Order: sequence, then C-alpha cells, then structure tokens
Amino acid sequence: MFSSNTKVKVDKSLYARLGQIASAGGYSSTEEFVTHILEREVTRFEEAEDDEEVKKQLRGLGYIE
Amino acid sequence: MQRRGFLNRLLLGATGGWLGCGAERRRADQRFGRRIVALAFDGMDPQVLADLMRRGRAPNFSELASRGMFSSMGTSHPPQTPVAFSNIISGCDGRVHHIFDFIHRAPAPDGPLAVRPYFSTSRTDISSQVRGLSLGKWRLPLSSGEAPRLLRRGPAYWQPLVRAGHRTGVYFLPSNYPPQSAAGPGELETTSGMGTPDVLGGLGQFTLLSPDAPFRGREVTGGKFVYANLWGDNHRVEVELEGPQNFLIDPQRVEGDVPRMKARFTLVRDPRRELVKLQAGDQQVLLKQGEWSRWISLEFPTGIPGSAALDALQATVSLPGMARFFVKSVHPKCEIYVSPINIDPLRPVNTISWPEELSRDLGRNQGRYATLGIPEDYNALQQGALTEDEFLAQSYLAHEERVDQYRQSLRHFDDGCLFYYFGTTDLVSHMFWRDRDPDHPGRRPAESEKYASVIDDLYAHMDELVGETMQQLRDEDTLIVMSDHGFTSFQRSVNLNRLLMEWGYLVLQRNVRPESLNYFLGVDWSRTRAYAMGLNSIYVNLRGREKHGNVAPGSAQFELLDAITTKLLDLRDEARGNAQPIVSVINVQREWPGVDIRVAPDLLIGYAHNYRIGWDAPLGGMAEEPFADNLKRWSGDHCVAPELVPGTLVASRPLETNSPRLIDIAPTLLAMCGVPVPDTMMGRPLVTSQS
Repeated sequence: MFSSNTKVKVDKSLYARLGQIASAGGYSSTEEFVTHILEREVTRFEEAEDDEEVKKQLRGLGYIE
Repeated sequence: MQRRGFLNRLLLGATGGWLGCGAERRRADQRFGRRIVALAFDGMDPQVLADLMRRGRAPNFSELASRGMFSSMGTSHPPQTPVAFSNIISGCDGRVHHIFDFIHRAPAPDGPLAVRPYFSTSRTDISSQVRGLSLGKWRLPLSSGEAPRLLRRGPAYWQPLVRAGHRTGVYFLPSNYPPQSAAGPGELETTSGMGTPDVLGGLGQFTLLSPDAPFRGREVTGGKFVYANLWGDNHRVEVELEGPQNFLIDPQRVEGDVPRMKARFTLVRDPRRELVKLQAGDQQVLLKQGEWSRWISLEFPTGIPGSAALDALQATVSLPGMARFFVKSVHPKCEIYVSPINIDPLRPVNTISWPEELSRDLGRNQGRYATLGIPEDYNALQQGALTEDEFLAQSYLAHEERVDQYRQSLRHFDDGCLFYYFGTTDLVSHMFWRDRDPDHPGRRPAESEKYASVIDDLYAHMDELVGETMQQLRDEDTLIVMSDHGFTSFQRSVNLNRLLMEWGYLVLQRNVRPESLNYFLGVDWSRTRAYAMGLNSIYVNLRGREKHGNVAPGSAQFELLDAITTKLLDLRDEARGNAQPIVSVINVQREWPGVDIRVAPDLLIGYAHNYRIGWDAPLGGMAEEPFADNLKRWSGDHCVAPELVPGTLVASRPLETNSPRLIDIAPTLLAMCGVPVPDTMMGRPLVTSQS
C-alpha cells in the first residue's frame, strides 16, 4: 500500500469511506490521506513516551500499586 | 545570605557591619544565646506514644512532657506527609502552599492521557531537552535541562529567621526538594528530604542480583530482579547496573530509544567461605553473608569519545551515583541486594542542599549519607527482595546514619534554631502495623508473634534519642518533638473509581474492561463527570480546566459534588457489618474559598479507621470490586480523616495545649526566636506566658 513491499489490509467499505474523505479533504490520493493520519497517530504515541517517564517517576511510591 | 558562619562573622567583624534595620534584626555576629531544637518523627502516633509512656517504655518522653507539655496535634487535610510538612514549613494550609496530596495531576497534557499524574512537591523535568552542539550521534551540552522545581508555594519559616539574623538548620524535611533558600544576615543550612529522587529521577529502585531472576530481568514496582549467575562453580560475575538514559546522545540521531548508561562492577565469591568481594572502579570491599556495605561510588559513563580530555576540562562525561550492597546469601546460590542509586552528596547531580556545597561538606566531614527522599526500602520488602529482618536492618542502618549526622550537627549547633527530620517511624509503621492489629486480614499469626513489638521497640529507640538530646541541651534551650500525623490500621481498601463508575459518574469506552483501566486510558471522557486520582482526592471533569471537561463550572459543578458527597457518606461495607468507610468529605472550594482550583482537588475524602483508598485507584485504575481486603505488608496507614490520626507534640516548655495544629509550628518557632510572625502565616504561636 505505501511501498512496493508493505501492504496493510483494510475493510473494503472502510477503504471506500477513507477515499471519500481524502477526496473531500483535498488529498491527492487515499494513500496520502491514510499516511497522514497514521503519521499523526504514531506521533501522538511517540509523544506519549514522556508520559511513561512521568509514570516511572511515581512508581515506587509505597501508597500506590 | 552568607554561605558560611565563620566567613560571615569574619566579614561582619572586619566592617563592624550592621546589615539590617528594624527592631527584630540582630547583628549576625551577635549570638541568640540559646537553641531551639525541633525533632520530627514522621507518623509517631500520640496514642501509641502515650501507651508506651504509661508502661514506662518511653521515660525520656515522659520526662520531657513533665517539664513542658504533651498533646496530640491537629494534622493537615489530608494527613499526608507532603501536605503536613508544607503546613509545618509555611504556617499555612493548601490555599497558600498548594500541596493537597502526594499525587497531583496536570489536567491538559499532550498525548493520549487526559490527566497526567506527578509527585506533588517537585517537578523533575526529563533532561532530554538539553540544548547543545550535535556531533554525529553525540551532543555537547551547552546548557543543562530545566532544573528540578520546588512546587510548594508560600513562605518557609526559616526565611524570617534568616532575615532576622538567626542561625538556622533545616535537615531532611519533606516537601523541600530542591531546598528553599533564604536571604538575610543569618545563616541557613538545609538539606532536602522526601521528594529527593534517585539518579534515575524516580522515588528509588532497588536491584536484586540473583541466579533465579529471568535472564532478561524482571521489573517490579520500585525495583528490578536482575540475572547474575554466581552458582555452582561460577565464582565471578561482571554486572551492569542500568542508569538513566545517556544525556549526551541526541535522541533525534539514534534509531529507537536512547540507550541507558551503565555502571559496571565485579562480584567474586569465595569458593568455600561465606564471603563476596565487590570491585567497582578502584574500590574494593569484602562482605560477609548478611553484611551491608558502606556507600559505594558508582560511575555511569556516557562513552563519549575523548572522555579523558573532556574530563580534564571538567565537562560532564559521566553521571556519578552511589549505592549500598547487601549480601543475602553466598552458597549455594549468591544473591546480592543493591540499594536504589542515590545522588552522591560528594558529587551531587542535582541541588540537594543549600548552600549547595553543604552536601559535600557533610559528606566529607560525616561520611556519605543517604540522599534519597525515603531511604527505607519498603519496596524491597513488598516485592520479596528483602525479608522482614533484612528490611528492619536496612531501616535501622538508614536511621542510625542520620542519627550520627544529627549528633554532629547538634554538637556544633550551639546557637539558633535546628530542625531535624527522621522518617523511619513512618515506614516501619506502614510495614508492621498488621502485626499489632489482631483483626488485620493480612496478619499471619507466626509472623505477627515475632514482629508484634517492632513499632513499640522503634518508639523506644526514638525515646533514647530524645533522652540524649535532653542531656545535650542547656537550661535556656528548648526541645520540641513532633509528628506530622498518627497512624491507623489499613484493613480494607475502597476503590473510588469503581464506585464512581457504578454510580454513573465515570464512564468507560465500549469493550474496555474495568480491571484493565490504567491512567484512565479507556475512559469515555465525553460522558465522565468525575474521577479519583491521588490518595484522598476527587476531581470534577470541569469544563475549562480538564482536557475533555464537560461539567459547567458553578451550580452544575456544586450539585454534582453534593450528589457525590451524599453517596460517599451513605456508602456502607456490607462485608464488614455495614461499616461506614468514609466519615467526612470536604468540598474544597466551599471550605477554602479562593483556593486555586487549577491545582486543588474538588473533594477531599476522609476515610474511617481501617479503610483507605484502594491500590489501583490513585493512578487512574479500577479494581474488580469496590472493597477488598488489604493483604499486603503495607498494612498501616494515615490517609484517612484527619481527626482520626492527629500528630504528636511534646515540648520541654509549656505550650498552648488547646488544639495545637501543624500550622502553628512555624509561628511558634518564630515567636521563640523573638521574630514577628508574618501576616501571611495562618497559624498562631503556641507560646504562653509560662513558655
């Protein structure tokens, strides 16, 4: 889907809905739109690594599990 | 503030300087002429102490009380040590100092979390934001990351004292990391206490080296089990202890996580005798089975090329720390406990004292000392890395180390106000309460017989320290002994988030199992109106404050809080004969008008004796049932209604005994030193005409 050797399977109806939104949103293709939203979500979780550090700082406080 | 008393006096003597003006100011070279010594024993319960006094096991406390006074003391709401010591230090409550719980939350963080918990009294930002020059995967730091910040607001009693020219020592008080300084002609020496992190930036992580640990290690709450094979004919092992992430590696220029720095040392065991040799750098110690090492310096190198040259230029190329080692067993299998890696007071990576060089002076003159905010390693006991006896030995070791420091401080502190904190009473009470409570569900009869008097014995040990102090004091001196709160049994846990869900105030997304909830990930915030976080706190999902707030401030918010309050007070524990688990609920904005609602919780929950919040709830989790028996070793607690766990106040002079409170301590110390109490303090001096 995104390169010659990487494919992700999605439901056909979902793919159709993605295509409609991609078109309405001015994306050049469904692939571009999907790449955009996946990157956005991945970034969110990468940013969340800071949250992991915050959690680690509290671990070991005897009052909590 | 002058950094050294001697230097201060020398300079003032040379210039004949009168640094201040106003009646309360004294020349810094003038002596106050007496000592006010305040000792705090965390969690010392007035009822337990009174019982020991009656039984003759606390003769020095009895003598002290007969000279002056003995009373219970109103604690903070909630009765948690960071809140309580913020009250003591500032003479104010949460409206001013902004500490309401061990755990606060940031309401609108980035990322998937809706609320982000953090340790309430200080903020240690991750140093990944170090700015610097990048050279390949390395970066040369041009400025360090943001320094840790003390989040306690408002005054500290030592500021007016220093302004008035007094010599002031403040040692290891909680809620004082990084330590708060003071300006004026007096002298201040202060070391940070509870809240001071280990070198990993957390609250302390032990390591147990064992051939039984999984090959890849096992992380547990507060520690780690690490595979180290000294078994059979294997008598030597090289160990790598993981430290923080390498602060000189640019995270943008490496794939995956930034690697962690590692301290290396070698363990060699004697093939026949119960002996282990530890070699770390140029240090070498021989330890017998059951023996604790001194503090061993550990080095976490960054591995940056040209370290030697950079080191010669005094650039930071490695991170120093220190740990104590304990040989649990040598044959047939060798198990070694390594304490959390403390900040080395001789080479502190963060500010742990004021003046900053004080920690180095103390380390040089009195030896290295535990700098971790809570040195007693209760996690190691909870997780089975230390046995009860080993934990007690470690706790006494930590306590005696501090007592040695105190003795030396007291010897040299011949004038002014000295305040010293001891925390072992609190941690040992947490861990051994079930052995003195015949109704505790976690009690094991054989164990309890052995440990039933552990807490009494520890109090008796503190009594000896009080006696020793009394002998050191002159007639004109004053001794005040206090605790921040008392103690009670923790038999049953109450899972507030479970209850809020069952009552419809907290809603989960479809297909999310309540038991899997963690950090509230999986909560449907669009339909959630309230949540519990921390040990005594409930927050409304308030519009304008919370990330996904949906409750309008004002009448809707207060109606919601009233409804939750009614349900909490009507709650009954059927399994315990319909006992009432929650006896008070404080609406914080009603109780404290003007409180900063960005920080403060909306409700503070007062649990009954024997109850406390469940283990999962404080960080946004949910248990299977609203109530559960507490079967853990952590079996005593104080996070209940404040009137149930008052603190202790004993003094060598008569003090006001009509409802003394923690917020009265700061004004009392000031009054005893002849310093006017600032209007900003909410407490009153307890000094009477007989004082």
